[in-house]
Amino acid sequence: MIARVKFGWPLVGAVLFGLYASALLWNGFRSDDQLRAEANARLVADSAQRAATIGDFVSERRNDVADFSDSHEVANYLVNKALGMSPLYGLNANLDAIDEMFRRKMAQTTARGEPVYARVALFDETGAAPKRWRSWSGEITT
Amino acid sequence: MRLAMRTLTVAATLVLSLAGLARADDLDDVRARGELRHLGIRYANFVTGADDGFDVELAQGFAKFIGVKYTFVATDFYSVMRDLLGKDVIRHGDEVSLEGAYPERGDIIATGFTMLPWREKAVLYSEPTFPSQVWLVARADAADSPIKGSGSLAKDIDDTKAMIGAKSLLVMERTCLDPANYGLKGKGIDLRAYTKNTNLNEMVPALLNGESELTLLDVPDALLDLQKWAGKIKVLGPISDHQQLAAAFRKSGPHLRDAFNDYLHQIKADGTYDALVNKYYPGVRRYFPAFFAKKG
Repeated sequence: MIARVKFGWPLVGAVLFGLYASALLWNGFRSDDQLRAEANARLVADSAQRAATIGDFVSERRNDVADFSDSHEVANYLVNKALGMSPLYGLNANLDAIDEMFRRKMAQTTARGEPVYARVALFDETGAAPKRWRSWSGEITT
Repeated sequence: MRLAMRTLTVAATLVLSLAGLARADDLDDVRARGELRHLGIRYANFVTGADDGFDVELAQGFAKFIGVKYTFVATDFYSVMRDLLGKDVIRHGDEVSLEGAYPERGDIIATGFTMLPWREKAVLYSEPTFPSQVWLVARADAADSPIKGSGSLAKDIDDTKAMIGAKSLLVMERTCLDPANYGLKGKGIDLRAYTKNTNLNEMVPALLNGESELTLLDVPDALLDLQKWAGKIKVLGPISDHQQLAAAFRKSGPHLRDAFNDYLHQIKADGTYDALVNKYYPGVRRYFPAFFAKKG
């Protein structure tokens, strides 16, 4: 009877210890999974936020391009070009106005204190820049 | 006796000449008075009418340069030379005569004032301060098409003049838009002198109002009008060779003129001049690259 009792308590202790260790291990794995899941969720959320920011940025640039092309400076140039004016005698005045407008917009458009645009140029429907056009950077584009 | 008379005549001439030089209008006299009176006409971006303009800032800087107070004196293109010289300048072709006696209201003309041969007979010009040219302008719906530009200015001028024919042309006499300056008188052109006032800024509104089929316009004004009246006017081509604008002084004020030239050299060297050009006529360099090319 005593021998049976002596044999039983260590076994019970070992079983209890095994259960406790298992519980600890399970809890550890579960916490790790939770941490990993939360990290993934945070990464996804950050990426989504970043994608939205980039989307907004691109959308703003699209609006800028629309503003540039719809500006009265560009409209004046196209009207005077349609009237047949020579760049030597008048038409270049419109290009200067466009140049000035581009410079102004470039100076005003910044993100985190840095200029957004390195260069802005005007191209017609064929993809060619107007003759005698000199971009803000001083390069002749045609 | 004859020798004495001759000596007396020479002495009198000398005294009168010296008296002329000693009139209160040279540099020392302006400094003694402590004030530079700038004769200006509201015109384009030279004198805007809002207390600034290319020539206003130029004259203000000059007053500071010689250490006197600046005063603006408003005038118009018909009176500006009389206000400087105290005499009416009567033009006889390329010759002039000075007549009458009027108050001298200013010491310097700086107002987009074109250097013309007949004017040079009456005033002392400074070194050129700005370039110009006269263009022929029509309403946008006019049948004439602008010239394409041949690469030869002389040919472009001939082609442009040929377009005028017998059409009505708005001009303003005694200004840079005087048809006599460009051989347009006696050619069968229906010349219509704008006389409602002497404000050159009103030439395009008058054209658009149907007062003529064509008008003359100088480049500094045209650059502004092409923005203001875009789609309503078109430049057909050039009427004149390249011109130069300058400040003008009395012939008896050579030192004041020389001081102005010194001032001009200084502001061209320190960048002030370029800043003024960029501020008031940002596109003009494209039309006159040779004028703005850095010397030396």
